[in-house]
Amino acid sequence: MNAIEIRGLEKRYPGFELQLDLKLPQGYILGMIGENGAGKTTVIKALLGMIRPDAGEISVLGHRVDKDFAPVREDIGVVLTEGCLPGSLTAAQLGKVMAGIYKNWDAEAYRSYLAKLSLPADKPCGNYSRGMKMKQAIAVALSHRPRLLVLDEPTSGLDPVVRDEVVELFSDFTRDETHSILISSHIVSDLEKLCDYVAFLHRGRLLLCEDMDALRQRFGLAQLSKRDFDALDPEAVLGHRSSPYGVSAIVERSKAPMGLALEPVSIEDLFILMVREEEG
Amino acid sequence: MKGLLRKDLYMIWRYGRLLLLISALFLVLGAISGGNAFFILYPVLFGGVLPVNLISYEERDGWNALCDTMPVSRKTVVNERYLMTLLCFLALYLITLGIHAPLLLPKGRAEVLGRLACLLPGVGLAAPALMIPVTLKWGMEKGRLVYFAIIGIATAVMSQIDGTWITQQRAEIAGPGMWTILPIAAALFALSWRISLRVYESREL
Repeated sequence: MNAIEIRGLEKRYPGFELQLDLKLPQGYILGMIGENGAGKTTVIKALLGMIRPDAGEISVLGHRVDKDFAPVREDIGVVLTEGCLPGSLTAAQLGKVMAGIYKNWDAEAYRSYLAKLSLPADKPCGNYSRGMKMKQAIAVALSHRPRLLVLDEPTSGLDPVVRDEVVELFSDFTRDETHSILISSHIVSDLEKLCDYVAFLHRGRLLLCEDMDALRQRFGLAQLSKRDFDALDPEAVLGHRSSPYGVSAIVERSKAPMGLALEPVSIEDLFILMVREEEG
Repeated sequence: MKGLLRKDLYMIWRYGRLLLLISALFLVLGAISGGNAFFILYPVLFGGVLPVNLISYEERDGWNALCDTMPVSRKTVVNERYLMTLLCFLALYLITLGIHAPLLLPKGRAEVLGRLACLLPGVGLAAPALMIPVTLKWGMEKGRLVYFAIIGIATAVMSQIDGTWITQQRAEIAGPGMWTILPIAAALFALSWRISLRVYESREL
């Protein structure tokens, strides 16, 4: 079963159009990478039923996203970009509020996440730093035993040590093979550590969605002179960047000429060079 | 809905404490001033709009968006908002009547108490009934404009009438028209509820 299935999604705003097909198989982690305004948050809002698509079908955990979707959210843990929890409430009060909202609320698990993430129970969330607000939102998202986590920039604002802890929490979550995660982030290194699949979004379009390991096997980074680059089969080149010292090119290994030295490509390089290619 | 009600109670306690204190002061002043309309009506007005004001804090924090990702339908969100408004209004309505009843009834002025009972919902329910749909549709900034318009109109009306008119035995004021205020206010509140349900269901957060 697919945890998320998006078919023919279209959403138009003035000056922006999203068109997308996307699948997240159950038990896997899909990372969405895209520049600001690429449409990541719009995808997340559409699959949670917060906005109405102009066309297309979305199903989450086997349920179609429509006006009767609210009960399905019992199984979805969500972290939005700003945390979005009421600033006047303390973590302890939030726990009591959430116990009245989620049938599966696990007060013991919540207390343990608060302790693990060093969050005080008696301080209003409004007084937290941005990083603490995100940690609080993550604790809430994980404490009602969800089967799917939908995370919009969950590690932004966190220092590297805490980011690592949080990424580990997400990794632990997917040890259960029925659990899945959709995560959008600008911090590509976090996604590289965490994700099974990666989707590149650019100006409302999906540039690529593939298995992370397959991507690394399929593509390599070549450092070439301008003349050698011009000699390459354009079909083999996914993207490139020119500098006075030569050309860095993402090359499809199967189409590369014999003997061409290819370094492992990072997801960040892959994304940046693909976007540059797209923009011409 | 239990969780949402609890959240609102916590938020009222945090943000509404000063307003509740002012309301308590006005209630006492209303009782000892011999029935000044300003002091009698304002606590009920505050009570009615208190839960509406919470929407601005929720908008600031982004709670309305996060709430939309939880197993709570938009219908429930709107229903809870109206229920909390009704509860806050009722609390201050009953407190106001409870303070004035021992002052009026021993003097045989039950009719004045009845007049109060009819008039207060006109203020306490009409204000949120006008504010909530606007706020849910366009956000708190526009909702606040409605709020200030209501406060302005209420102040203008009250400044034009004899300060002690509510508690005076005047047959012309206590006429049958007075008794229609309660059902009109209730109908306005119910209509507002229905409009808010439609408005919020169609809003993109």
